[in-house]
Amino acid sequence: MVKQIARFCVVFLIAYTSSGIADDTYPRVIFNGFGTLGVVHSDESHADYVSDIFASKGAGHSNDWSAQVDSRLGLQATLHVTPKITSVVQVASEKRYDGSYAPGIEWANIQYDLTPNLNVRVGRMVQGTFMASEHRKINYATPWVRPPQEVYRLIPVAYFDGVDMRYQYATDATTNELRLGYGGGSVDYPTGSIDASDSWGLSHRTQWGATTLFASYGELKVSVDELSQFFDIYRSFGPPGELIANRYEVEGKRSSVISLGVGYDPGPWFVMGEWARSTSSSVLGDNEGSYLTAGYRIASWTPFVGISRARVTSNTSEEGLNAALYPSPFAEGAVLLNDILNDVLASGMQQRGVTLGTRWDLRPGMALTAQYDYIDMRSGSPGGLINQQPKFDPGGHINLFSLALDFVF
Amino acid sequence: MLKRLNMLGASVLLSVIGHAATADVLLVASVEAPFTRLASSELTDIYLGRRTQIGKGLAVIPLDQSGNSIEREEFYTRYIGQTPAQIKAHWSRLIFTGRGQPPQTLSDSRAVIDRLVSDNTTLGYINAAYFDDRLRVVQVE
Repeated sequence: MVKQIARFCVVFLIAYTSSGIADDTYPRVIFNGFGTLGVVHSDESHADYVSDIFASKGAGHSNDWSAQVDSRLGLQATLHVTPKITSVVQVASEKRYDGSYAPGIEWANIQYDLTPNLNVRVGRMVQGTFMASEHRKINYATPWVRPPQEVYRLIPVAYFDGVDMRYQYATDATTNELRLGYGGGSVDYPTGSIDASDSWGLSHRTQWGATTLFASYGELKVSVDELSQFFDIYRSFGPPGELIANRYEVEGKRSSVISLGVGYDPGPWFVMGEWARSTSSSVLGDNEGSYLTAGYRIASWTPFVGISRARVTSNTSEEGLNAALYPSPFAEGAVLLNDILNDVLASGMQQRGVTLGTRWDLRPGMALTAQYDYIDMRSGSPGGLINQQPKFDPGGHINLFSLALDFVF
Repeated sequence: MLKRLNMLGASVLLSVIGHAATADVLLVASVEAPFTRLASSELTDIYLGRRTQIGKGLAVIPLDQSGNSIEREEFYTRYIGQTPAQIKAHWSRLIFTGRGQPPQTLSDSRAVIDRLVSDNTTLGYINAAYFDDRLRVVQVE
């Protein structure tokens, strides 16, 4: 149903592309775009640093300097069908799990304004889980080369196909937006896919002078085919195996995410920070992330500094099956299963980061950002690095240098 | 090398001169407009797309001038307290999340005046040199 609507939006847009351009005629279409040309160097040569956990390659092992971590191009068409009906279609091309740059649909929906302050949308939308979630790919709109991973990695599936409702209201001193969404989505990775179904989220944003206050809460059902198969093998080990499978199974359980954000931007300087926590009574565990960034504006330069932290608050190891209770070859099988389970439990992001950078606004619509990140991985965590080689030693630290040219048009 | 340095010097000098050139900008509406004053926060909210109404449901439509005019830079810096780059970043956060488009852009102060006079609900800024008796200066408090 939702996919059909997304397809309908695209057809509709193409059909109307040739019509009026004047500012107050209907229907009319407006085209916008955004993009980043970026290179990253990581001094950890035995694993890849990536900004998108599902990308196939990154900086460090695959490439000393990688242009694939942050580079992307996005195009958007906004169609005003009538004064009350709008459609937005946005596609973005970036490094994907299969190594290609095949464009993916980020937004494709139809919006109907019930009143000037209340609207509903049907189609594909991006979740409003964190303060900058919805514009996380428009690097021009944020101070950093990429949003702090310690918070923005907490959610694997960012967009959803479904419905949402937004209500805007104002008081004398504040303007506010309340957003409620419901739907589901999925994301592919090299050996399978992660599905988020039956997910809903509520977010609220207040603008009060120079202060922004943000809060959100959401729940979702995650299912990962590979993990389900893995726990089915555990179950074949009788009651002790079933106990472990029920404890760590992802399928059918609800996960939740709560987040809080604050920003203060009086003009010459700014500060912003977020704290978020995801909870799941499964192998996904309980994770917490936070960051704080402050910047200062001098003419067209904006130097900034940030700190960030991610940790796992649930257990990161598990005794598993007692191999001594099983005859060979089941005993060896039990050891192997326990090893994999412990690897997954230990793979959560646990790290502290320090970020130093500066943005240079070349001209309106174009900015160059140079950024240095020091990432200190804790408790033997691989810190979200991929393509880990045998020589990779989790729990170390990496130095990351990034340079990005961001633009919007 | 020396030639390059000279060129660099010249371009720095030019950009300084460019910035030194300012226009006296007035916030105006039609004399028949139903509003005569705005709170500074209301003006900011209207131009940043956060508010479409003031007081008890009075709709106000903001008008903008083209991207590289001196009037525009002066207006955003003085009245909104943000540079054109900050404004661009702000609108890209709204455009790419389906929250709307920036105010309608008109070519110059004359075009803004024509629109203000023909539509009472619009609000604009103009070069003071073009002010006439069909307009009223909107007070910002």
